Amino acid sequence: VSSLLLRCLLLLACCVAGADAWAQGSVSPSSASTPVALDGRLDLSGHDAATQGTAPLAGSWRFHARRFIDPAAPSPAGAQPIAVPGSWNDALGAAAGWGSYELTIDCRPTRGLALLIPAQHSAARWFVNGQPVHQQGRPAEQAADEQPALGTRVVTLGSAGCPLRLVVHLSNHQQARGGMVLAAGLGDETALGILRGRNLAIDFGLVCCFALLGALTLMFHGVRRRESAVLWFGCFCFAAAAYTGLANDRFFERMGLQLPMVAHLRLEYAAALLTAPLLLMLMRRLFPRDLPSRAIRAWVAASTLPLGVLAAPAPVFTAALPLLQWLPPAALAWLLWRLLPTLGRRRHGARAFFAGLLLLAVVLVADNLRFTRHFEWPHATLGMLAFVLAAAAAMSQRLARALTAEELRGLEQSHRANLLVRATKAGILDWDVTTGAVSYSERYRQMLGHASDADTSAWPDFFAQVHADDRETVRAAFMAQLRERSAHGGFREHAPMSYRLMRADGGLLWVQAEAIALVGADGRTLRYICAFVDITPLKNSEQQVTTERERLRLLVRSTKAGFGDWDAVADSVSYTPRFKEMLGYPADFDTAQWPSIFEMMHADDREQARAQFKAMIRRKPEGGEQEPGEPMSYRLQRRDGTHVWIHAEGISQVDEEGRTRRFITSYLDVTPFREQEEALRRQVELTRTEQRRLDLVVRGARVGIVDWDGLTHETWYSPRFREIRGYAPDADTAAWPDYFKVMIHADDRERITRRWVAFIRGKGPEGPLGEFYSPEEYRLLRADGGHVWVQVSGMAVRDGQGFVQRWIAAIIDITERREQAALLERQNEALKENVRLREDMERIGRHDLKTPLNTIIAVPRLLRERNSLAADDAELIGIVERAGLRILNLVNLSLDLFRMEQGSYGLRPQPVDLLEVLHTVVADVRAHADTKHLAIDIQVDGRDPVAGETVHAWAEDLLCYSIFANLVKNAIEAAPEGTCLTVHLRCGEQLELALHNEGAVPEAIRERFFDKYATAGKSDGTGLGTYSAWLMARIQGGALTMQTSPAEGTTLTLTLQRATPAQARAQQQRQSDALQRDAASAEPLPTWRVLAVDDDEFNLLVMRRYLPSPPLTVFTAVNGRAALEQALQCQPELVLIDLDMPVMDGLEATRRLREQQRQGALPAAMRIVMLSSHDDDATRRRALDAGCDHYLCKPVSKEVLLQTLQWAAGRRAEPPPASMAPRSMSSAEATSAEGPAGDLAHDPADPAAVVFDPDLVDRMPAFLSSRRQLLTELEAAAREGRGDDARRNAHRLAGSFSLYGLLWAAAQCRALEKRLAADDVALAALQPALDGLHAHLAGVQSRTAAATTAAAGAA
Amino acid sequence: MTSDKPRILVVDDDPAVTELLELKLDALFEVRATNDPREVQALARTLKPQAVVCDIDMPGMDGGDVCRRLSEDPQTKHIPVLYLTSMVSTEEVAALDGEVGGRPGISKGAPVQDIAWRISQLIAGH
Repeated sequence: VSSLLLRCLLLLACCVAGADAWAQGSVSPSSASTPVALDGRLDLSGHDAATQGTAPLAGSWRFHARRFIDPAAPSPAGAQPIAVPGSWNDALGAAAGWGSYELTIDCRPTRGLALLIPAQHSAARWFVNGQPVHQQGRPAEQAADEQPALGTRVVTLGSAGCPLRLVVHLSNHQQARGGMVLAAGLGDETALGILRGRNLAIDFGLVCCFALLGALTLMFHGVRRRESAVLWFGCFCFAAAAYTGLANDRFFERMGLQLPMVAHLRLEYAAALLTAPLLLMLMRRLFPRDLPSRAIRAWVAASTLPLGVLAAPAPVFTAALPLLQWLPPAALAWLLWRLLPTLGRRRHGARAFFAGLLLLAVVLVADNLRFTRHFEWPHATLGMLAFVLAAAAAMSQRLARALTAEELRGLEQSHRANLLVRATKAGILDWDVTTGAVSYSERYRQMLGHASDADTSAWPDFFAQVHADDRETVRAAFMAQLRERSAHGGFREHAPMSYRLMRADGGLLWVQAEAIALVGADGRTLRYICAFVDITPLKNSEQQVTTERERLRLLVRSTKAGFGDWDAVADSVSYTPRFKEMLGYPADFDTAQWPSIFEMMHADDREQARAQFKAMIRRKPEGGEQEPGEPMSYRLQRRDGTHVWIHAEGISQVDEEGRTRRFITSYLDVTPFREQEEALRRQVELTRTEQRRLDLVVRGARVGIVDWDGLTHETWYSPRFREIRGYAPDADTAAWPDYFKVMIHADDRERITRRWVAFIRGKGPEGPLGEFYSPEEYRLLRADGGHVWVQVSGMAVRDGQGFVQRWIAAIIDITERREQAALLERQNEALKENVRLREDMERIGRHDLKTPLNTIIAVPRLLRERNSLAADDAELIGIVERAGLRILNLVNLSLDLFRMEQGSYGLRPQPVDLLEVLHTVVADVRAHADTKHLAIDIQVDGRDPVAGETVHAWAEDLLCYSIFANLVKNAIEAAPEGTCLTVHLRCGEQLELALHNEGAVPEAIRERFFDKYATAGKSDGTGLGTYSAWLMARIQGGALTMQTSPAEGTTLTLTLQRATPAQARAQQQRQSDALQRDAASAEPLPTWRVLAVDDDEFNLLVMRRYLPSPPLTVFTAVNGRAALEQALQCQPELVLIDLDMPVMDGLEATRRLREQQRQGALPAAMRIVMLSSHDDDATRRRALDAGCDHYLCKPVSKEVLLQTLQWAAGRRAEPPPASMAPRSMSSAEATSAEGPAGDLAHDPADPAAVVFDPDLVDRMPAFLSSRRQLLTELEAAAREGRGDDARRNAHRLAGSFSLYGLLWAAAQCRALEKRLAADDVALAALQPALDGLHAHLAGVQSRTAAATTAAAGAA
Repeated sequence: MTSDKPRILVVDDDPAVTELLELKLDALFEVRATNDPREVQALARTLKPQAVVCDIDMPGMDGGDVCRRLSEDPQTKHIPVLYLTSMVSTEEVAALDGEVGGRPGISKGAPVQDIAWRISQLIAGH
């Protein structure tokens, strides 16, 4: 084929050459026959235009250089011949730029002549016979004025007649070489038109040919960019078309493209010159291996050089082009040279190219030779055509081959793909965008649950198969993929997607879709292939994993525990937010910087936890699931420095070899639990201690414990209790009988059971909620059949309703105590007996001794007062009296000493003149001292006492006397004969009396000189003297000391309180008052009847003697009953009655007397005075209660008796004091502080006193009788056990007594009421109080009666 | 019988008490007395006393009941009541700030002058 083509090309080249030759020949052959102008004259007379064609007007023209001649005028001189065609530069050099051509043509006058004006590159005006026929541009003398233009024109001459004178104004300033370079032609108008039309048609055909080829190839390149050779070929074609249209017959100009001449030239030359580089580029693409790119680039650059020159001004490039035009042929020559070897290798189309190039080169060379004269390449278009045809043929051949190869390759790939599609597990969807057909692979159909050969043509849109939830996503992604145009040609891969497809059976199918799109060069998708892989199992497991993870996350979040996850391989720990919060960090705190957990631990816990952790992560014997480790407890340091208790449990994940890979720990904040636990532990510890203590107590105590559970009725007996009952401490008590029914002694059982039941029911004295059961004593039966006395006290635990839930009793064995109590009872009895004996002794002392003493003292006095005795007898009587007084004193002293020792002695101090006492003592012992020839020296403050001097001590008269008497008598006994006793009284703040004698106290008793019963040397000494002196000194606030030595003798020093001067003065005043009273008492006595009652006739005798009769009439009675009888008979105004009397004592008698008095049997003014040897308050009160007006203590002196008489008669305001001697030696002394005890005045010190309201005196008897009535009722109620009635009576009595002024009785009744309110209704217990009240009321009544009478008397 | 003296009603189950008070308080008050606490209500309505002197511990009806009955009756609720009782001693009443069971009270052991003074105070207070 190539050879044929080559041959065709060669033929074509020959044809072209022939045509060219013919075209040349069409002028040239005629030139041989046509005449040539000579010196401006051409003879064409012999030329027949119609037959011979166009005659060229060539030859020697006349030229007027640089001058436009007038065409109408005759030819001026100065013309010079010039060759036409030819450049004026040849004749005139560069100076010629414009001028006028002139030619005269001799022709045959014929019609239809025309001038063929060639394409001159200049401005020209053509004149024929002076007439302008054609203007081309505007010729001018100056370059600036010139307007050159191109023109090829056939100008009809019309009627112009021969000869023709042709004048042409021509200017050409732009071109290097100018002038009439082409010769015009003169010919037949019609023939010239045909010639020109033919040339234009050829140009049109060529332009169309080139343009069409160029357009096709460029379009081809547009769709197939890879083929750049096609691009260059198309460009070459267009360049050729452009040149063809611009050159020769100016086809474009005829088509309307009017350009200035220079622009036209530039364009024309550019189009022609551009073909060379384009050709080079094309060849380089086509023969890349044969043409070295660097050389090609050099040649391209070289061949484009002339193009650059075109930018220069027209004269320059027109001058340069004739040289530069050789570069393209040189390039072609180089190409031909390089391609020559390819011919031998039979490359596809190489020969055709070579031939085309060769032709083009030949034509170019020919044209270049002509260019220097004509300034255009008239045949280049033909060369270009030849090359274009050759190239087109070669390239189409190449393209056909390539297409065939591609088709084969496509087929092969299609086969391969089908095989793959069938073999793969993925389902394939293949969408051919161009046809819109979708095909599904068999596997795809199977995946969706269809038959593998199912018909898919009726299937709906693909998206309908997608699960509704995913559909929009998938569609959007797909559309995005289609819109994407980044790739041009080739493949576009899409990111895989996973979504659900609906199966035929309605199930779901998870697929992973991976798509590939084939895209065209414009980026459009041509085909879309998608592979679907079934990932349903994967998705399911993924779903499960997600669910599991979510569940785990929720679990972790929901739990209060924090977690730590230690990766052993990476040694990194991650903690959950909860754990961070536990330690006081924010949940999103970065823990990467945290130290190891052990560093955060409390130092005390660290080592243990570390050891435990190490043990936990130790290599396990086998892999797989591990059991959680032992829980750990430790403290972790919080962010703020405090510690939090953590309960941690860990589990390790191990690999197959048992190595720990991962360790997960859960941390629980157990601080509150720890605190509670700690508190509990302490509590338990405490309880345990308490329990132990209690056990010890229970065990160690002598107390048996019984613990009864009220709910289960189980009873626990302590070992000690078992022992108490005579069992072994560990005896089994399970079979023990009921406590109350059997264990208690039969005699106590009922009482105790009743008591206990009352307590349980809340009805006991403890109240409904009482806890403690007051101790009870009873007998328990012992194992040996005997019994044991126990004291039981208990405690009950009650519930809200007061029901006893538990009962704990402590049981003490009191057998021993009871025995001791019995013993004590006996001892008490003995003691009572002793007391009775002592009382007897006292009675003897007081009554039995003192009563006869009264007589002994009183009788001598009476005898002496008679003055009938002889002096001797009187002396003797005096001795008797003094001795009696001494005995009395001794009796009293012994009683006082007893009281002092008991501490019951009531000291009544008063100012005592010690000097007086001292003198008395000395007088008493004078006789005794004289027998031993002892001198007694008394000194006061180191001097002899002055007569009448007094030294007052704050003491008791009698006690002082006793001390002094004792001390002085002892001193007299102890002093050696003929010595001197010194009594030295010193008056300091205290009074100090020092008694000195020469004798010394015997060694043996010195130490216990003041002890009781200490005596020496005296056969009859009792040892009481010194002791009593010491005791008396002490009792008076003083002291008695002794210093003795054989050399110094003995000094006894007595200190006593000194009376203040004021006290001393008061004492003196009282004494003087007493003297006056005594004087007053001398006034006459009333003429009263006085009844004296005493069982001792001596006393009666004394009394009778004391009471002067007349004016008094004295009656006597020996006991109470006799006194009653006597009183009724004698109607006495005053009764003096003894207390202790046989038959009827003084109290009873007084009551009876008062009774009689109330009945009017006795004088209303009768006063009763009781005399008794009892000097205690109780007796005194009894006496007053019984109705006595006054109470006197025996012995009673005459003065006191008379004073009492005076008082009773209303002549004296106060009765004499009840108590006289023994305390006071001086009977005249009255304790003025003591009120009139027997008066009706209120004496708060006297509990039995009654406040009488004068208004109430009338009412008192009725009131008192009603009270007695009430009292009797009370008694009856108490007897019958009507406690409430009794209490009410007591209450009423208390109230009324208060109001009526019987305060003592009111208090008694209130006490009674309280006892009755407390259910203490035992009459026996109340009886003494009731008796007391009865007696009191009786006393009050009798006194009231007296008062009433007195008031009446006064009225 | 009308007089200028304020009228008081003395209530005590013990005639001895009422007698005494009638006697002792007659100089200052027009004293009406009853020994039956159940009559108090009716008497108080008819007599319209300016004060009631009442014992506490009485059979049948105690002082508290009397007071309550009086205070529940609109006609008598304005009448002040003075408790006169032997349940407490003079000293105890003083310690209780002159009140017994939350009401003015005085001990039977107090001097009659004190009782009279207390009654007039009570009337003046009203």
